[in-house]
Amino acid sequence: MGQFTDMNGNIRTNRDGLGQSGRAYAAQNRVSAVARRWPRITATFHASAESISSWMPVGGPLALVLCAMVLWSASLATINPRNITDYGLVSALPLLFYIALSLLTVSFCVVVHQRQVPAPVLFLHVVALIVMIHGTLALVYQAPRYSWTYKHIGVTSYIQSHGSIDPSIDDPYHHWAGFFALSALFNEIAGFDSAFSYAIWAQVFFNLLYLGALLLIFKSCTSDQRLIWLGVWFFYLTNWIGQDYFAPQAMTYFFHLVILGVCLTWFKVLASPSEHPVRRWPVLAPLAAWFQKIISHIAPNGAPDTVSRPIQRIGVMLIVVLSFFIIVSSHQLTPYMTIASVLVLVAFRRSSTRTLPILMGVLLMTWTTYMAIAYLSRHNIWYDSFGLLSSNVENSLTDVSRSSPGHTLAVFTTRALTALVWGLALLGGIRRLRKGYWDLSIALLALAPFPISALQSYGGEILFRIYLFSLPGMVFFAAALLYPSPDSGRSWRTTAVTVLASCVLLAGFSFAYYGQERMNRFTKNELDAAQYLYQTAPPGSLVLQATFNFPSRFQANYDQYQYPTLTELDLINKHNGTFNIDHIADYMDRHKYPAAYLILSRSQKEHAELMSLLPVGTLEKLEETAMRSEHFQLIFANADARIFTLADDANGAGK
Amino acid sequence: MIRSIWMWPTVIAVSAIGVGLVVFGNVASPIRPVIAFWFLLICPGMAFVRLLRIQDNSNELTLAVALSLAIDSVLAIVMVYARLWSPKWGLGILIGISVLGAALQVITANRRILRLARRQ
Repeated sequence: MGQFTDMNGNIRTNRDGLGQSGRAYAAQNRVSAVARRWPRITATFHASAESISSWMPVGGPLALVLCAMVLWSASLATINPRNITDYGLVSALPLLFYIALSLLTVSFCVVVHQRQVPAPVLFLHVVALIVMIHGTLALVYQAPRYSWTYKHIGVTSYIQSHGSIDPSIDDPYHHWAGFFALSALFNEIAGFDSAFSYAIWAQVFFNLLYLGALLLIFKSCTSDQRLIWLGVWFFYLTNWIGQDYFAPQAMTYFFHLVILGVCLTWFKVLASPSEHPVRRWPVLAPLAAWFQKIISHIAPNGAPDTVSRPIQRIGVMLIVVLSFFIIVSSHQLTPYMTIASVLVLVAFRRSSTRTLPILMGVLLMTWTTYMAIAYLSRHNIWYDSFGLLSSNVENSLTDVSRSSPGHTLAVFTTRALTALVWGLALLGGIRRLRKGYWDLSIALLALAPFPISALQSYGGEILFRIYLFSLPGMVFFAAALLYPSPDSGRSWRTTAVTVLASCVLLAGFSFAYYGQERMNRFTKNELDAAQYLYQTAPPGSLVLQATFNFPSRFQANYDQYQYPTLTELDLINKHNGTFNIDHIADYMDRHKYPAAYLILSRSQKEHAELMSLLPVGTLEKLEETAMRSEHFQLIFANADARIFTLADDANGAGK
Repeated sequence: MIRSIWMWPTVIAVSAIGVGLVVFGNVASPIRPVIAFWFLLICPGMAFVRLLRIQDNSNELTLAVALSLAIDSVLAIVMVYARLWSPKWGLGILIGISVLGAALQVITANRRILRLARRQ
């Protein structure tokens, strides 16, 4: 019986009488004999074996990503947007698409679990995910999604055409024009007439931008690569809000993330504050003592402290100030979110940028009182919902009592996904705390946007925006539920749970993000109709639509037309769908426009039906009635859109 | 060391020349949007962020993109609000800013090398 010593130092025996060391010795002898006889072959074999063993941790996942991308590319040809039902794009996606996405998900979850995998491999997985979930729409659709995209294209074209904005136009985009000015400059330098050529790719572009900013934030909170990359992965699986299209919010969100990342990386407070400053306020003594207790308990979070030189801090602070200026000049809501986040970091001594919130406030007030005052004097958008917390939250919740089953599912999925992300984050935070990590900075970032809900309703969207701005913090803690510390989460069970969690989030994302594609997508036929309209309609004309969901306003002279909708004007009874075609004709004739047009399209019908604005079939009935009416004349028709004008206008009667 | 000193200034200078040629030469080519996109997204910011000597590559790139977009936007906003809209002048300024930053990179790097050489 051979003996050998195991890893614990115990002497063990083998049944075959040859010890492990003896076996190894014999095997080495055999290899040496072969090596002596065929030295070149042996050397080549050794080199290949070493190469394969070093390649496997990287090459295997790369092969899987490539395979997933090939399958995804093959699936694109079989996607027909016309097959989209009430349940959204999910109903039109083939099995191959899901196989590709599943393969990528499994590969990522296995790779992120291994510590020795280089960051570029994880980066490649995330990029592949972004391309798959956002690039699919760009490749399959004929035109950009969302009707607002077209107005944003129009404002950009306006700047290209006029070289300036017009504050007298009652349009917020002429008062917060930063994003549009940048787009116009890019169009001119790139040689584009408008942003049409690339707006469809905005989702891919902005999500790629967010990747770097998210890494900046997460790296400041932990050095555990698994936690960083899983947080990033979860961000893309849970960002269902849809504010990543060609819009000011998409760009300002990037700057918001960068500002937070800079505050946490280069202005991180390394030492706990002394008690001296809080003792200055005797009135608030109990509160201050409690606050001090929390602060003093905060242990290091395991992230490497960035040693920054003064020149670096000055440089990055300049980037922060410039970035915030772009936020202020481009978007109404984001400055408040950024100030709230920076303020809590400073108040809780997580960032040393104490004067930054003041500077931000000054910039915001300056822009509001000088550059946007003309708009704000006409619209009381900030103060009408101030302090109405419950009303602001309720306004964000869609009434699904009359919705179709598909839309109801999409709405409930968004709610379930939101609750799931917040729930996972809470559990992850608790688990991380039990492991001794007080991630106060990231917890503050997750919670800072919530008080904004008491300040304004933001057109009934405040809850969505709060979810968006709290998401980086929330996904960090959701990922921490699986990898709470560098020592935990080593078993294969963690990988299995990560795959399961990713699949659940992906399923939720598919319904929440793609759930309203029936109305979000536009066809080339609808664009043709809009283009015909702008070629035909004289400036000052009335463009009456059934709902706002139509790809109009993309022309440089978009501001010269009126765009009321039948649903806003109550020209159709929303409950029973009844209308009087004579009243509609009267309205179009009453205001003595140079010309008046009624546009009915596929996307408007989908919108009215999906959002239960009108009973099913109302707009089809309106179309038939207009065709038969002596007041209207059909001047343009294709499979997806019809344009009517008043018969008098068409006959050249004039007004 | 030498490669890392010269790499970004060279890339920025070549990009500036490229975008200048296609825009001022009114070249209507499919490559024009690609060069314009690359230049506006990376070059003005990278020209100055490299001076900060940030160790982490992804952080450096993120800051460079943020600074590029911020510089581009500030320029565009000033031109729009001051009613001085001239994209070609704007591009000229951006090229100037980028080349200035690239030159500063070379100067500061050379000084650092000389300082190190004197110490040795």
